[in-house]
Amino acid sequence: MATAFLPVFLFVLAGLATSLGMLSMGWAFGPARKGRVKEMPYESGMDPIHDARRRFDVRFHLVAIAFVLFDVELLFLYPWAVANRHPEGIDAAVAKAGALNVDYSRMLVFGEVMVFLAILALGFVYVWRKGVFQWR
Amino acid sequence: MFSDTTTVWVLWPEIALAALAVWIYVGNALFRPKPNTQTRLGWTTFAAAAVAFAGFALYWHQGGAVWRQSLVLEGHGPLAIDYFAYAMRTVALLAGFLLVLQASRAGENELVSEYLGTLLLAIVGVMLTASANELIFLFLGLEMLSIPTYVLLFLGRRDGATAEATIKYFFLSVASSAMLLYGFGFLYGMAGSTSLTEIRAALETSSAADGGLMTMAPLALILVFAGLGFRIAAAPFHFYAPDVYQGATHANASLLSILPKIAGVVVFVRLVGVTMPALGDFAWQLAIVLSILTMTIGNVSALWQTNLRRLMAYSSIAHSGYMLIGLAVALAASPAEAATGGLSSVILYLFVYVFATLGAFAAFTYLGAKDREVNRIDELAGVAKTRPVAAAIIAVCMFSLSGIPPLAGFWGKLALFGNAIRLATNTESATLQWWFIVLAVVGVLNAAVAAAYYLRIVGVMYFRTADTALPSQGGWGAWSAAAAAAAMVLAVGVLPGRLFDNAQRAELAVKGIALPEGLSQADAPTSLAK
Amino acid sequence: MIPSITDWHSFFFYLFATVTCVFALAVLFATNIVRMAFYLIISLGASAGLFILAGAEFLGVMQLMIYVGGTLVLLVFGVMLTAQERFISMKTRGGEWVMAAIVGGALLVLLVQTAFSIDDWTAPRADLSAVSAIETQTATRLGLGLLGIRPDQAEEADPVLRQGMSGYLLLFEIVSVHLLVVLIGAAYLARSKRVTSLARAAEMRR
Repeated sequence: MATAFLPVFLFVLAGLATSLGMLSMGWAFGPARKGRVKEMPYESGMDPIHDARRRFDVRFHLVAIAFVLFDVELLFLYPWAVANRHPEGIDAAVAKAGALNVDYSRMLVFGEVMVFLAILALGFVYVWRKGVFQWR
Repeated sequence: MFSDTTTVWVLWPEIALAALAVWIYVGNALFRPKPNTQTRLGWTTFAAAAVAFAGFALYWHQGGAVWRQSLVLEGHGPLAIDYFAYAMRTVALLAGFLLVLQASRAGENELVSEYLGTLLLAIVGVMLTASANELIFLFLGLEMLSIPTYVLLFLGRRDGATAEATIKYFFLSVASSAMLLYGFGFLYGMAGSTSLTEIRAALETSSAADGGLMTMAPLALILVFAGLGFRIAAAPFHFYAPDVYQGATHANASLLSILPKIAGVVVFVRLVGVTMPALGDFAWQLAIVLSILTMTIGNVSALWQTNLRRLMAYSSIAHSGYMLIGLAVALAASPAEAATGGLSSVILYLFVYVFATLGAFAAFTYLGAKDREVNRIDELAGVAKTRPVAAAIIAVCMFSLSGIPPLAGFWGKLALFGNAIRLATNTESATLQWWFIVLAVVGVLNAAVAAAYYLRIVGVMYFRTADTALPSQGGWGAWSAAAAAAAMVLAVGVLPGRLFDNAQRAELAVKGIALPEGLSQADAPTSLAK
Repeated sequence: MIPSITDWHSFFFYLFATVTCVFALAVLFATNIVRMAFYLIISLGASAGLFILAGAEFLGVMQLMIYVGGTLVLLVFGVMLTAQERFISMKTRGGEWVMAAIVGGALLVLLVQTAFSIDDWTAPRADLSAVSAIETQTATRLGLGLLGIRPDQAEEADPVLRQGMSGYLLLFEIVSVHLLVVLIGAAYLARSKRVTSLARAAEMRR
């Protein structure tokens, strides 16, 4: 049985196969010269002395948390965006509401989503005023 | 099919409280990003007024006819509009009001708006949980409680112990939420609906048929028990409590021992007690085993604690065990529709527990100071001389928690043990008889053990002397919260009738039984059916 | 020739299921925390494929966006923040293995036993062609639900009942408040860390 996603899956599969194929071809047929210089991360002469795993500033973590937060927010907007233009989406619902004599309009829907965004925008105001985004 | 104003109409105390909480965050950030003691007082008053306003909104707007009848069983809506929800929202608001007062001087000035706003949102979470008749609503209500709790724990103090306590609570709480959600997933998969009404119907129609989807029901029940067991700190999910309480401030520890307990018990009553009577046979055994384990572990471990908050943590665990007795009674009694007193004794006990614990913690907060909390029991020595009122408040709460007769705790224990024994004497099944007699006996023995450590605190306060007095800088807010809670405990102890009536009415409502003649029967929620 | 389309579905199911399980085990047995994170990405990505195959395309997308895209970024950041030798390489001791095996094994046995005791799931489906039409419109329906409409309940005739069928608009807004609290908590986390790190810097200068 076909899902609409079959082409996507096949594409992912083909992409994986290509990249793995390239890597393994290089590994199989490429000349493997070993030596101290060859095994350095940068052959260009820059000598990376210390361990790459250093401790990072915690502020990066805040950026990551903010990213996940807005990621989740976007996730909740995604169904709205899909329903917006879908033939069985908001337009159909508004038409049905009209038939049933119920108050429901695109403006209301827009208002609902704006309330959702406004609550988070208030949080943004708070964070801004508290100076969390100052990179000191 | 279309969103209407019913939800807003019913939930407007919650919505108003959430909006005011958001205003506390933003208003403070806009006008005075660096609060001092003055602004702190202002915001505390504002928060207390917000909770009081929500309480009045609930009472005036919905305390009337609307709330008398259950919609859990007849209605398909996302909201449970019944007296049980009303009662639990009232308890949450009362406890919340006292928690706001108690925190009036705990923590740092700079964080006052964060603390208060988050506290209000946690209260909103409990209230939403109480009025949910739907899995998604229920879960979001519980999360509305737990997410603010993580922030609150972290806001309490800035040291290693607090950070450790917060992280422990956070990870375990997230894991328990995941388990609960997994259980919800099974329930939804079986019933094809998130509405508790329909889940109940689905469980009842097809639990007899073997091999169907209903095979998943016990699994769902176990996962729900695990998830909720964490919330109310029942064994074997209790182990976080002592460490977390010890690392938290008194104000936060009281919050932790109250709000999740209310929410957990509410969900236990509505989701397990009312929605899953079809699984009663399996569920009551689970509840009994957990109950015996929980109260025994809690009480016995509490005996040799020297840290005050650790002791209170084990006490909180033990009381969860007692409350599970009532749940077991409700689940084992048949027919499930009858009012057996199991659920009403849980509701009664919850009320009694909440205010006695709150009073004790508020008094501890009052006796300490921001940078010097009362940590060990020994530090309470001689308080009866230096702070006689605070000592009296603590003594009243301790006597109530241990169940000494003229106080509220006695009635709570009487109702729980009495119902277990009544079930044992009324049933014909030998297994039920045996188990519930054992349960009642273990409960009574535990109460006796518990008296030892509660009375030890009283003894330290009254019969020992100390060289240095406690700072007693917790503020008038904590003092009045403690006094109010102790007054409530005393009042219920002297005049328990009203509370018994209300608890019974809540049980009838949540089970969808028409009220008998003695209790005032009001109309079905006609105003909502427009 | 390309095999029949039914087989493509099964093929991808087995592929994704295998990848999910193998890399989940790899997370368990790896000792290097960076590798664990990478295996987790693969495992979660493949389970997103499983969701999509089951017709829950919104869930699949969510899995990719939140878990693979978001949470793991956070995880990798966390690894970088705490990168010290004893955190980088995590070894599980014998006793922990035993405990974990008991708890996890009990759950696994319970789940497998339940799954196999459901008759509908063990008997082969005779009418494979009948299940071919998997709808992939969950996002539209969810969107309408979140905006206060329940398409599946539109046909309810009784107006009182229909009223109870209203969608999840309030929950949608509550989620926003959840996110607000998280933002405030994260902001406090960052500020408190800055205070301590500034204090440490001042100490270093001295």
